[in-house]
Amino acid sequence: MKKILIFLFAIIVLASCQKERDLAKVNYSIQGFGDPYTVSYLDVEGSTKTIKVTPNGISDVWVYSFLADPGTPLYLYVKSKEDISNSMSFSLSLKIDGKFYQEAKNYDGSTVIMGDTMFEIKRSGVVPF
Amino acid sequence: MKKQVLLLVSVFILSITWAQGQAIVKGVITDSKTGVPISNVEVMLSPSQQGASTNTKGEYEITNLKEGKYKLIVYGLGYVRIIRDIELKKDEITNLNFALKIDIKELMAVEIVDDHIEMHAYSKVTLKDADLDEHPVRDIGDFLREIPNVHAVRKGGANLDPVIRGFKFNQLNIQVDNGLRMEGGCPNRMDPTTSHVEAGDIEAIEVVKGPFALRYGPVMGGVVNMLTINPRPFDKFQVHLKANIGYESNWNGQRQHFTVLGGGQKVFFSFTGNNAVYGNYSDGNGDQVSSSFTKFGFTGKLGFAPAKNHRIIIMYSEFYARDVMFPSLSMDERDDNTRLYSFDYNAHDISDVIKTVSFKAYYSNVDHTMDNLSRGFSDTAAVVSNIIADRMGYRGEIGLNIGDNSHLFLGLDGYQIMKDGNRDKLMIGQPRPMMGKVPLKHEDLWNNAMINNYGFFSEYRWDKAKWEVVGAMRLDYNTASSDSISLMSMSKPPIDLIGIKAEDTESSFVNFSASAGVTRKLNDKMSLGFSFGRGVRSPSMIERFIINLPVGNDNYEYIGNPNLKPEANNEFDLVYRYQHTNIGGFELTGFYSIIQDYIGGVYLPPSVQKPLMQSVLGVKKFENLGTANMYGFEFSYATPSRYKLKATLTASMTSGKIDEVEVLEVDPVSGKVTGSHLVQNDHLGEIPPMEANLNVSYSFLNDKIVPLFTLRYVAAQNNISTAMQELTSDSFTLLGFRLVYKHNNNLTVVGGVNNMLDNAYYEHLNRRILGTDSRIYEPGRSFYINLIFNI
Repeated sequence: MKKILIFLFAIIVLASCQKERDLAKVNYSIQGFGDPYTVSYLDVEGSTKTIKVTPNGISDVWVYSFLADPGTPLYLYVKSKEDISNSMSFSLSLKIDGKFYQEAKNYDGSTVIMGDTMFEIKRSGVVPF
Repeated sequence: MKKQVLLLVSVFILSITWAQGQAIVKGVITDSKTGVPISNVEVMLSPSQQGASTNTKGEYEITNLKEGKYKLIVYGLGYVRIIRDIELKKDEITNLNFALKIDIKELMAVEIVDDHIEMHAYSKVTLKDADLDEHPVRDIGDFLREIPNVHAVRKGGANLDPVIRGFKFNQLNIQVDNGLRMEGGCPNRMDPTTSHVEAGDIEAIEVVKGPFALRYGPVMGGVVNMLTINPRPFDKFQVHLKANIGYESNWNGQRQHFTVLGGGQKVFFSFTGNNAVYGNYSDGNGDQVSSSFTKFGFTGKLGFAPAKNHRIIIMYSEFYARDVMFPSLSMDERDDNTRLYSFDYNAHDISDVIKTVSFKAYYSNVDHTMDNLSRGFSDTAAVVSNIIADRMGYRGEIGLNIGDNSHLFLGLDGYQIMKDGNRDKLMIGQPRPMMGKVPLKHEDLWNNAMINNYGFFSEYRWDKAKWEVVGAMRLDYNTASSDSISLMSMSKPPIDLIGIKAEDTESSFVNFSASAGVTRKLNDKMSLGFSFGRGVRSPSMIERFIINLPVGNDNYEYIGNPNLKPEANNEFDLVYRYQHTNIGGFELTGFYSIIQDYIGGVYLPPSVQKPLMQSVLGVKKFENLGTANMYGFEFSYATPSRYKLKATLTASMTSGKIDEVEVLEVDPVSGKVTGSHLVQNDHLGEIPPMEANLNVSYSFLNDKIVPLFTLRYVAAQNNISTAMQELTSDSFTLLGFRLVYKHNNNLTVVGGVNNMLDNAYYEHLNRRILGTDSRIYEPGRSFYINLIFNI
């Protein structure tokens, strides 16, 4: 009986240890642009990063990956002069642990900035628990 | 209802056996080591089944006995049982005194803090750890609902907030180990004090209703004192282990708790650990309620006995909560990290005059994070709120014997509460970054708010013959301050939408509270007690300093008011008790309260204050609303505990009204406030309806197997607050069953089922599911099993 109780005790002690949540692998990716475009995204620190990407061709893929806790906010925004509405190969995606979480195959809308028509796409969300 | 009455009548018929005869057995029961009289010891005779419990002086007396041979059984909780063969003769008084030895196995379970003086002028209920062990206690607030007229506000699966006779939140004094109090971090009271204590650590819970127990801090509506496992000295070094493992089917919930208790005469210790992982439960309709939670933690206590009758205990605890879901709110508790530190010194029997000396110092730190990140609408704005709540305090008391049967307690206490917190909204729903960034709104919930309280208290007790008198008073000096209460707009330049400057947040009060009670023993079976108390409490952190948050039962954001006056409860209690050795004990308590400067919300039109959220109807500011009153009763009956067939019956009711209150008129189509009018005698909000509970158990094989049936009836609540746009609630009846099997001294198995008929129901105090008029339903049928090990 004592041995059983000591075994149970050990299990309870182990179970009482502080629990860490499983991290998820987040993957932002953009492909299908032929012209330069601007990307804004929330990085691993939760800060907004904005960069200009100049692809070598439409097969170029821009990727940003990081490990995130459940509940981490995600945000990916693209601004481009290139009208990708007819470009069937275009895709913007947010993947979590290899599975599509958000995806865009077309632009969301356009706005005129400094006389140029800019096409915009935004996808966002939260790493699920 | 008919079934209840029939069942009760059956219990009476079975349990009443009128004995006739002339012999009497009486005596005094003391502790073999200290010689102190022991109260509440059961003395019973077999086979007559007559018996009695010892009074506060350790005395017992069993009368009307027939002559003959009996087995006399003496049983006190925590002591070795005594069984003795005796022979009684007609017209003789047999004196039998016993000195009980401490039972180490029992001590593993219970060491009730008891000053051996029991007052009867007001209602005091003590739940011991046997009650806790045999229940699937996942939450203390939930467990307290067992007590008549004690209810709880449910906002999710855990962290239920206790309500006593309609008094709630800061109207109650909820504490641990005679004085340690914690300040929850959540402005929406997602983490009431009871949620920062592990149920498995509790040895007993004392609930004193009313503003009478003034020794333990300012109190208005009642005191809940949770007494946790304490280390204690042993004659020789030894170590004991207790483990409790439980499972609940509906929640797929499992919990584990262990206690290690050991040491020697001078140094002793206790260490406890707990873990609970619960999923969502299904209600009686089969619908899943978002109610999952995870909790774990540990507590270590180290005790020293530097001299005889002197004891020092140092305590450190860490408790963690993760992913506690609250369907009634827009956010869930993601992380809650609580740390407790305390130092206790206790001494007794120092001289003929100085009976007790105690000193306690403590510090609690709660780091509380909430967010909306598992909600669908987090795609619009990812909201994270973090609050740090610190509370430190002390309590020192000296107990004096100032004459025959007279005791005087004098003491000082004090505390400081500090709170700071904010809410960040990352606007990820925005179609594009602004100024190169995803927009982030930063809002203060509290801005370095602080409350200090310094108290002096005294309590005088006197008992002689048929009279018991108790009088208490306390004087509190309370100060509060905060940095500015402000809410900055997103405009350029930003505008302060509230604009209360730091210097305008300061307030100070001197509060005087007093209570007096007298009990008259009408005969050896009946007593009548009368108490009057005035308990004053200063406004809370929320009421003084909260910044635009929907903290109430209604759908409005609230703003704190630093200029609030203290709230006072003037209460009268009348307690009638009847104790018969064969019939059992009755207690009927009635109370009437007049609450002055009742604190509630007053609507601010949008021209004065606009809400932050679109989902609310507007903004209210805390104000003193005037006078309210509450009244009600509690009834309880229990058969003698020596009977194999036992029954308890309880019933309770509370009603409350406010003299005059503003009722808002809301357009049902637009959901906008269109006007207001004053209403006289509106019902107070969040007052629980009438309810009755019946428990019937039978003891097989000398308590080895004990089945228990429970029946609970709760009436509909139609007396609702129109000012709070409260909803009515329906009546319901619940059945439950529990079986306790004591395999041996090392193993007890408890199994049972709650809500046996799988009824779909909700308690009146359950909050609405966010954005709906539907209340959170209680769990449907749930099977449970607890294994309790002792070595």
